[in-house]
Amino acid sequence: MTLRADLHLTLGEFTLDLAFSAPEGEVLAVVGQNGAGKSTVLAAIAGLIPLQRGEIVLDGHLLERVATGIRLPPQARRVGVLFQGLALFEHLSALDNVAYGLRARGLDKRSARARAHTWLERFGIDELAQRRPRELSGGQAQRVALARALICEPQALLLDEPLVALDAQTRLEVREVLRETLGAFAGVSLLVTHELDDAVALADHLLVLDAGKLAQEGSPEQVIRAPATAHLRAMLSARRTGSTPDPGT
Amino acid sequence: MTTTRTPKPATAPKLDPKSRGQGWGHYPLFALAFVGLALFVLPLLGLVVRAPLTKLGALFTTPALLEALRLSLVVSLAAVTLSLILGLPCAWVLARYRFPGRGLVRALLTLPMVLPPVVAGVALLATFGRRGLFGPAIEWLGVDLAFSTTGAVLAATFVAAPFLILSCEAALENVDPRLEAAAATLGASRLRILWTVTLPTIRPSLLAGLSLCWARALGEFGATITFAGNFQGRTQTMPLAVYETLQSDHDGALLLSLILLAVSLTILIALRGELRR
Repeated sequence: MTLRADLHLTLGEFTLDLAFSAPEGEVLAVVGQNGAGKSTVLAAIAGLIPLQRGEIVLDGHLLERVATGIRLPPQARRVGVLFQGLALFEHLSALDNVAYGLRARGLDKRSARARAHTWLERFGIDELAQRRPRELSGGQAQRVALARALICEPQALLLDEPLVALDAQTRLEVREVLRETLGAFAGVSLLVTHELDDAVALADHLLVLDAGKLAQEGSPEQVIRAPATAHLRAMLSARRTGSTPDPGT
Repeated sequence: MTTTRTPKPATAPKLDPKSRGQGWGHYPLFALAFVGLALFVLPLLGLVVRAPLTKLGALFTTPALLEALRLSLVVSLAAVTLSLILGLPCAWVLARYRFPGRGLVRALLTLPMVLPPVVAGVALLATFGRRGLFGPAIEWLGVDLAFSTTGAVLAATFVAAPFLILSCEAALENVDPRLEAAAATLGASRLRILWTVTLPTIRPSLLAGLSLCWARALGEFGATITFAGNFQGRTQTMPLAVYETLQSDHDGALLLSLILLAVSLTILIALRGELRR
């Protein structure tokens, strides 16, 4: 289940030029400051923004190739997305949020809900099945969103700033959940974050994005040893002087 | 897991907006507000006080009234349905697409809200009437729009649909695009996304728009009497019946008005919870 992407597109002033590939089971983190184009990378792979040049191949299946005019819609991509802010459906219970993908793919309500229950159990929150998203804590909502994305057994999991807007305690809790979930996930995981800490804690391989271009690539250790952008250096020096423990080791 | 998802940053205490209106320093405004309130409330009071409630029972056995009441319900509900079928796609296009002339289209769609209803009636007559622009074509089709119940529905739709369109357009524009994107990555078709994500998300605005649309259609007078005429059992809805009854039977008109007031209040109260959400 490898992912190979060669992404080129222009949106107004912003241009994205990024090529990378990831073997199955690998957790890849795209790091960069706001506006570097991180979310655009995920949107392109999910099929939410069309490429202007390049291609995306997932597990040997061609998802998009501009040269031959092939472009699968998001519905046909088998890509799970954890959106920034989670984008849970407020009018549905936690259970029906998780069951949504199965229902959309034609499974009957009863079987879909039964499988959603097993996923909630797996995340230890089955007792919250009937709650609405707004009645969940940050950590609980994150688990529901992960279960919703994973229940359709995607070949790639895309996570957009999964740790942003969480308070310090929830953040550590969610990071642990993510570490376990990504470790157990067989496909490729692509994580977008502006926090180097989170990337180091969760990813096997880092892509440093700066103004839509690849500034650096390597293992977390390599990037920490020789950070290529001013943004990374600022974050690293803040980390050394600050009290944040090093979660990467 | 007792933490909240959006921790509140520590900020300086804010002035409570509710406390700023206190004190009597603004008494001229207060006096004007009181006069304003009186202007809106007194007529309703007058209507309730002067209506001969003892005759209410007798009125409900009058065939003409029952006919008008039935027709009002049929016409207004048909107008709301037509507004939904045609208005929701209009709101969708306005909210989700950017095209040249969008501002103009939006203005044209909301014009009936500010247009004098009698002008709307004359315009409908000039277009769909027997001697109107499309009169011969419509006659050839075998339908009779002017001076028919269908015409009354068309007139009510013309003036009422904009309330639904405006309310839904604003709501559709504000739907978080990530919700629909999430549904798409989960495999939902466009139609399924609309039905299971978009419409439930705009539900409060949709219901508010529907109730305003219904209230407007129920009260429609000017466009209806101009385009559809005042024929008992065919186009004479409640407001038209009130107007006609007033010429001969003052008490009857008061009672009919009271019934319409009760219907409007019921709509408002029934949707109170939904409107506030």
